[in-house]
Amino acid sequence: MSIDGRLFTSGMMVTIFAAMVLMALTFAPGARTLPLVIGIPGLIVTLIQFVAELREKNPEKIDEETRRREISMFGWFVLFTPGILLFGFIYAGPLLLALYLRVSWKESWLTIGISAVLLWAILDGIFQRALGLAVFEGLITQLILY
Amino acid sequence: MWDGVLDVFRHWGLTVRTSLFGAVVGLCPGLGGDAASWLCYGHAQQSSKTPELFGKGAVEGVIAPETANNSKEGGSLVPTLLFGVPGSSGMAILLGAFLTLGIQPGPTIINDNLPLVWSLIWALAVANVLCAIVLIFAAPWLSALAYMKASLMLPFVLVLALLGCFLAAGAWENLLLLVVLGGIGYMLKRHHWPRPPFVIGVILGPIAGDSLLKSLAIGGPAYFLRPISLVLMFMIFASIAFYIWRSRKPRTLVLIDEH
Repeated sequence: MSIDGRLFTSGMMVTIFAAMVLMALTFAPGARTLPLVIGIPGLIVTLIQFVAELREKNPEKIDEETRRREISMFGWFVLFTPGILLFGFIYAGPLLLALYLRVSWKESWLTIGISAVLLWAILDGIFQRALGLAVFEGLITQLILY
Repeated sequence: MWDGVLDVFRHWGLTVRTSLFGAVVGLCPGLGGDAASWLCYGHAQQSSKTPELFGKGAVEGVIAPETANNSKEGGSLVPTLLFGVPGSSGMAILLGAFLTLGIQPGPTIINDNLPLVWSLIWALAVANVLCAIVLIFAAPWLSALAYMKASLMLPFVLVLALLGCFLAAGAWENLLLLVVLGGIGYMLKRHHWPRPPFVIGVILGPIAGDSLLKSLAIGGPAYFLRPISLVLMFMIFASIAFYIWRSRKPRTLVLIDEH
């Protein structure tokens, strides 16, 4: 992810600003003022950045170990989301935490057990019962329970 | 720990500037503490001799937003008391308490209830001092959190971030949005794009849009030519020009060294 990643990021920013400007053009005259005031200079500046990076000959080298660790962490983040979406915070939260601690860090079962119970206590005890907040139950859990 | 306390005095210029800036932001109803903190963080980074250390432990990055966050409460007391318009979320609660107690905020409060105004000013000052004393004693216990293994903290933070995202609107679709925005955020961080402007945009965007439409409705396009508009526009262009000048400066020095 050296030059490609940099160009991808700059291109992503150009796309975001361009999409924002195009969307703003469909708004009513009053509503499109601010999006255009922000969007047009933003699009120009990001295009300059994109061209500058395209012409740069010595892109920054990224440490392979750091990159691997970051991608692994982001992978876990992506895994947690569908897990919680499908099975909810109360069930998926502690289970995914246990899985993460075991697979990524080889933590002891005692540490994993205490952490999972603590997370469950925070989610169910503090948020759901003490604060009375409706914690998401998960799409599959809702189908099974109701 | 005392070294951290002394850091505030070592950076006394930054502390004074961000205190004043926070108080001025606090005077503007609706801007809120987040705006003051982020704007002062940006100022600290731009005025620092080592901006590359921001996000990696530069103490100025802590002093500036926290000073602004505290000082904005003093500033926001002014519109709350004089106009009955809360300058921050904390002041909105205070305003509610006033109404419950039958105290009418407004310009007449200075004449009718001056002792109350002074009481509130001193209460705010004393509360800040007391809070600092309590936290100085509690710091050794609070700092123990920094020694916790990152591996144990990460899943808690991740689940609580997802929970916060869901609870913000009670919509599970927010979780998908978080993944997309998280991906964009990761790419921006990896390739050194600043993220605070996005946060400032999210906070200030609705306020700026609303205010711009109101101003244009009242004054028309000539609103841009009013003295205060011209001063603000000059400040914006001057800060951009200053930033470009600063970012070009090290390159010039390198070129001089090479010759």
